[in-house]
Amino acid sequence: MKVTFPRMGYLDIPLRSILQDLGLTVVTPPPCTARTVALGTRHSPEFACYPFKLNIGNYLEAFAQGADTILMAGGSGPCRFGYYAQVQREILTDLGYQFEMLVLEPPRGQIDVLLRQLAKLTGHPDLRTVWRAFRLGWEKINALDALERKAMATRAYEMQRGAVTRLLAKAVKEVDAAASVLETRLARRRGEEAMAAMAKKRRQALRIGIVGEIYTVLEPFANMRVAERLGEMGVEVERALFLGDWIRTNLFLDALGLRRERPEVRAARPFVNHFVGGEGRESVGNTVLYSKRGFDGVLQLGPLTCMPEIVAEGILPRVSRELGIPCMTLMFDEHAGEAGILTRLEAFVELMERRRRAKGERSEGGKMLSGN
Amino acid sequence: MLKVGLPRALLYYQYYPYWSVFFETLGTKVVPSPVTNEDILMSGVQNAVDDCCLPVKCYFGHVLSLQDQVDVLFVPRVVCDRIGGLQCPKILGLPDMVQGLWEPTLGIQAPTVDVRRGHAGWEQGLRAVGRRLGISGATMHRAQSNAEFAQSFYQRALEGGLVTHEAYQATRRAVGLPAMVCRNKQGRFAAAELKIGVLGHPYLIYDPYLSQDLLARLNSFGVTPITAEMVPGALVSAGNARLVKPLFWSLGQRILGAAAHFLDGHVDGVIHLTSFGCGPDSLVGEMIARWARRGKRVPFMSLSFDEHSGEAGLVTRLEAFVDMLKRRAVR
Ligand code: SF4
Ligand code: SF4
Repeated sequence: MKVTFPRMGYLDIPLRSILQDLGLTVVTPPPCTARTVALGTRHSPEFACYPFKLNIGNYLEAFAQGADTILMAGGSGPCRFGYYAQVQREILTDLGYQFEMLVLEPPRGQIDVLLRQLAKLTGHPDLRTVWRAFRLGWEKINALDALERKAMATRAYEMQRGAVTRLLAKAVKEVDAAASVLETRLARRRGEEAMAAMAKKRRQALRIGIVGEIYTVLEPFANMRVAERLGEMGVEVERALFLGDWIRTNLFLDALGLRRERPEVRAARPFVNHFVGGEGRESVGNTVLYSKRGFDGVLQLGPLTCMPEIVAEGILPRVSRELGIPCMTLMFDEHAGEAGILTRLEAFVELMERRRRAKGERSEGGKMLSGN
Repeated sequence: MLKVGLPRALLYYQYYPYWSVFFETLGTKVVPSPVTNEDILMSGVQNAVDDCCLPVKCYFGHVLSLQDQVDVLFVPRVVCDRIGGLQCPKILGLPDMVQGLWEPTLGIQAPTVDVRRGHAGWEQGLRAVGRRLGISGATMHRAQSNAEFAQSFYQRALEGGLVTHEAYQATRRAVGLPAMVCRNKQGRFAAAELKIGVLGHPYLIYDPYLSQDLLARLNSFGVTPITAEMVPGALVSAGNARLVKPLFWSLGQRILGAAAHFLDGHVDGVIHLTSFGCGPDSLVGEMIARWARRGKRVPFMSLSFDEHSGEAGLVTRLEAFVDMLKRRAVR
């Protein structure tokens, strides 16, 4: 049995680590390329959301390398993701592949179900091995999140273009290779320190918050590396979503019945007072939070036709107007052109710069008045 | 008299009897927006986000068309209207999306309808609205039971083969309300030799403007259209039982269940109407298309509708499909 799974940001690193430690043979799909898109688009419904298509591309490329089992998450709606695996199974079956699809349905408060599903998959009842595998995987998730966070915060200040991206890639490789919790922590520390120690431009860069649909936010290929590009344009980037946060709230807290009201949910309340699937409500709530923290702008990312993000997109103009924070939405699919995205990003950065200058002049004017 | 505005779009097509009988028994005046027309759709298109699906854009237009004509707008947030069946995220977020279009004097009434985990179903949702409008408990109780009766009568009328408008008129007669004047042309269809299963969200197939009169057109080509609403509930459930994992969208469940039934050979052809930009349709449609391809028994066609779909293209495709079915029938 050779297990594969869809890619999403750095998810492959912890997942591979966990599955291998559980004694499984893993085939990691190669990073997404134009070929992945072409394969995925050819075999997916025309109007499926982009992650669906990239998933299909991942599976097909992994099958070509010998994978015969797919591990995928399920869901209970209301968004399409919860039914992805079902339709994907039909598509791959009709293409003539022999494979098994294991769908981890969210246990909705039943952690024992989750464990039983895993036992079925691994044939590994040894609880200590299971615990160790997950412990290390979780540490890797936290390390990768922290490194990415640091990279997005420092890229704007790098003296040499691409320096942070190189440091990040190196640190990520080390995390991937780490065989223990301790090694993972060291790799993380080294990476963070290297980025912090880097020579810096001295200025206060613009700050932008990224919100949106989880896959598009986490997978640089799906968002045309917007975080990196913004950094290179001299913008400090903060992202509202990371793998670890998402797992914590959606898998663990839910499974333990501990889902508490998160700050972004509370912040969204005047604008969206109900769960709308995916990250729709969170996108609005995080925009409110970024505005309160004085960010210069918010960028919303999602796949074209993404239902929860369309709900948010319809509401964001009101948030933007009432709180005075510029917002821009970028929706991606296989037809999105790089040039168009870059132009829009540049225009948005310029807008934020103009606003900041205008604000600066206003407050300087104020100082002069009080000074005389 | 207090005027309650009901946008004639989205779930209106399923729940109109329930809503209207409820509000009429309360002694308020029910004001539905006009049947969709070009102006309504265009104002919706201009005011909704571009990325939205056709039916939600249309809904925006209906909300705007009621501007300054009513005291209350009724925009329920329907999350889960029966166990195991959710609505699409855009319907969940509808009250939030229409905020800011315009505000009637007594506001937008947006009760949450969610029958899971002891949340409020229609009953609690509507009661909250009645309370906010200052209606007495006894009246509300009567309104509630009238509304429920009307809704179940309506459902049975639909299963009996009536199309929304006619089923609705029959319902009004049954509950003793005067008939309503309505320019909606769709009535019962003349029985013809060919039967075509028509699948799609009720707010698309029963909206004569959005669907470009597809049902009536089919009938004029000598076809009896059979919609998913006309398939008895038990058959719909049987169709859904074939899925590895049950679908969680209530509209999708009816469509898939009816599709399975149709594709078993109970009709001569199947047409799936989809809305441009619809999320659930992309997956549900894919399942149906694959079933049809594998079964090879019943010809299948999918038609996508958007604000630019031209009439000529539709007629050509429909005619070709019907001609093909007729040739098959002769063989
Ligand atoms: S959240 Fe968006 S991308 Fe994810 S399944 Fe839903 S529509 Fe697709
Ligand atoms: S189900 Fe489809 S058509 Fe209906 S509101 Fe949702 S996305 Fe739009």
